[in-house]
Amino acid sequence: MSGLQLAGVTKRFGSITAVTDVNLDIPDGKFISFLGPSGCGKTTLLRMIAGLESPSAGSIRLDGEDITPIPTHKRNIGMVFQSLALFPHLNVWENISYGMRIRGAAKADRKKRASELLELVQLPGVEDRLISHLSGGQRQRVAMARALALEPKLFLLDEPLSALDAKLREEMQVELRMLQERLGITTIIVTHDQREAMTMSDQVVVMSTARIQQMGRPLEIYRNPASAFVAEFIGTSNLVKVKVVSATEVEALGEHFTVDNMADGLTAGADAVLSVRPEEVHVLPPSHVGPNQMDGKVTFVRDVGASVETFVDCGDLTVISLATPKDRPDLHVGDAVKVELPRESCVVVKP
Amino acid sequence: MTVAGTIVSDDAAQRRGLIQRVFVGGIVDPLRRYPLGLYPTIMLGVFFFVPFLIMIDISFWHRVESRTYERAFELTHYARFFSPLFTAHLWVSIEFSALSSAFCLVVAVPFTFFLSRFRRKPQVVALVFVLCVLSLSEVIIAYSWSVLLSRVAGIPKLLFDIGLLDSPDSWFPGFWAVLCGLTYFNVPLAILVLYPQSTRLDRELTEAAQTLGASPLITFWTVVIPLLWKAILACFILLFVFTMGAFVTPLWLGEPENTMYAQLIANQMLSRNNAPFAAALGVFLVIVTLALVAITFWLGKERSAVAGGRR
Repeated sequence: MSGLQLAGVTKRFGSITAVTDVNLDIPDGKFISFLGPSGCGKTTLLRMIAGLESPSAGSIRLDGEDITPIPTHKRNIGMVFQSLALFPHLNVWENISYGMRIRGAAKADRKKRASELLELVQLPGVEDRLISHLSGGQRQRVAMARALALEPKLFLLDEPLSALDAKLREEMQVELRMLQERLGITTIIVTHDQREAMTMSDQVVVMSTARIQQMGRPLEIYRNPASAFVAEFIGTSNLVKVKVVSATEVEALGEHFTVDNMADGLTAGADAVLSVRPEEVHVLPPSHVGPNQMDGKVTFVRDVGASVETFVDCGDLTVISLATPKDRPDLHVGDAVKVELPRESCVVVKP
Repeated sequence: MTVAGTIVSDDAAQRRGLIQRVFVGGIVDPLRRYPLGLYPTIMLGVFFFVPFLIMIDISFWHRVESRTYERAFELTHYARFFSPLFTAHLWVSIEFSALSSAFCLVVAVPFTFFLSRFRRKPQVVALVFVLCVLSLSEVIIAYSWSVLLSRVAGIPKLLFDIGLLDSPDSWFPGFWAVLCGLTYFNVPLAILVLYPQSTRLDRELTEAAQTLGASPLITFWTVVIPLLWKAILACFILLFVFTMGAFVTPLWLGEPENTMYAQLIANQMLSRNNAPFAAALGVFLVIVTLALVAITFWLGKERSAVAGGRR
C-alpha cells in the first residue's frame, strides 16, 4: 500500500490532548492542507508525521511501512519550518547541501546539486550568499530547496508563508503548487489561512479542537460544509440559527425556508444552523414576492471596487450579500429591501 | 598657557595640556554624558586600578638584605623571570589552565545544551544544584578531592575492594589530581556562563538538521557546536583566566613540580618576605593573562570571519 496512512493517531501532553484519534489516508503525489485555527493540533499532527513528536496512540505508515517507531533522521522527509530554521553559520549552498554533507557526498557534487535546486526554486546565482543577506522570500526558497535536496518521500511545510507579506504570499502559493505538480511529491502543508489551503491543495483537512472536522476537495468543503465551524472557517458564511421542520424545510425568525441540503441525522424539531455563502444571497426590491425571502434594511455598503458587500439587518440577524461590480445593486444605507436565500444554496448543518 | 597670570614654560604647558586632554576627554566627558558610568569607574579605579599601580610601583623597588626593601627603580626582579625555575612554573600554570578549561568545556557544553532542552521544572532544579556547587569554596573542593583520591577512603580503595585494582594506591598528590580539582571547581561556572546562549538556540534548527538525516550526535557537532562557538570561546577565556589564579587546589592536591604561579607569588610574599619580586611576578601574571585573552579573542575573530565569509 503506498501513500501515507494515519490510524487512530492521538497525542497527549500531560492532561491536554492535542490530537484526538486521527485517521487519514493520503494518496501518493497529492497536495494536502491541514487547516484550522491556532491550537487545533494541526502542527502537532505534522510533527508526528515528521517524527519530531511521538504519538501517544495510533500508527503512521508510509509506503506500507510502519514508521511510528522510526526516528526523524531515518524517515527521509523534507520539512520547511515556520521559522524556516536555516543554519545561520552556513551559506546558501552549504545550507541546501547539509543533508548530503551528513551522508559524506563530495564537495563538487554538493555544490552542483545546490545549484540545480536553486534553479528549481527559481533563485539561481545566490549559492555563496549568507542567509542573513537574503530577503524573506529568498529565504523561503532556500528553505524549500534544502528540504527537497534529498528527494524525500514526503514534503512537509509548517506555516511556511506566514512571515511573508500578503502579495508575496499569494505568489509563493501559486509557485509552491506548480513546483509540487512538477515534482509529484506528496506534500502536506499546515496553515490557518483558508485561501492558502484552497489555492494549493488537492485535499483540505479541516481541524479544530484536536479533531478532524471535515476532509475533502476544497470546493466540496466550501459548498458542503459539514458543520457550522467549517462553514465559518472556510470562507465567510451567513449562519442562521434554525429549527428543522421537515427534511426540506426549516424555520427561523418566523419565516420558513425551503432547503436542498440537509445534514444527516437532523430530524424535525432539532436545532440546526443554516449556512449561505454571501455571493449566493440576492438583495431584491421590497416589493418583490417569492419564497425564501426576508424583509430587511441596508446598514452598510462596503464597495472595494473588485466586489461589493451589502450588510442587511433582518431583525436579530445581519445577512451579508456579495456582488461583483457588474451586478452592483443601487443600494444605500437605510434602504428597505428583501433578501433571498436561494434553496439550492442553503446548507443546513448541525450547530 | 597662562594660569592665574603666571607664565608657564611651553614644555610644561604642553604636558599639562596633554594630561588635561586625556583626563577630560577620556574620563570626565564620557562620565558627564553617561553619569551612571561613575559607579563602575570608581569601583574599578579604587579596587583594581589603584592597587595595580601600587603593585607596579613596588615591583621596581630595591630589596635590602633579606628582610626589607626601599623605594627605587630597578629591573632586577623582572630579570629573574627568565631563570628556568620561573618559566617552568609559568608553563605549569598555562598548562593547567588550558587543560582544565578544555576538560571543563567537554563536560559543560553537552550538559548545558541538553539541560536547556529539558522542560522548565527540571531545568530550575538542576540550575539550583549547580549554583550550590558553585558556592563551595576552593578549599572544600580540594579537600573533598583529596579524600576521594585517597588510599584509605577514596575511589582507589573502592576499586581495590571490588577487585579492579591490585593495590589501593593513593591517586594524590599529582598532576591528574590537580587537574580533577580545577576542572570540578570550574564546571558550575561554565554551565552558568553557557546556559543563556544555550536556551536561546532555536529548537527548530536542531529539528531541521534531524529532518535532513542528522542523528542527534551529528546534529550536536554540525549545528549546536558551531552556533555556540562564540559562547564556548568566551567561556574558555573566562575559565582560563580564573584558573591562572588558582592557589589552594595545586597547593593541596599537587606535588612541588605542580606549583602554579599564584603559589610562587604567595611564597615570595609570605615566606621570603620579598614583596618587590612578588609584585613583579604579579604584574607579569596580569600581562601574560591579558596577552592570552587578546590572542584568544583574535583567534575567535579570525575563526568567525572564516565561518562567516567561507566561499
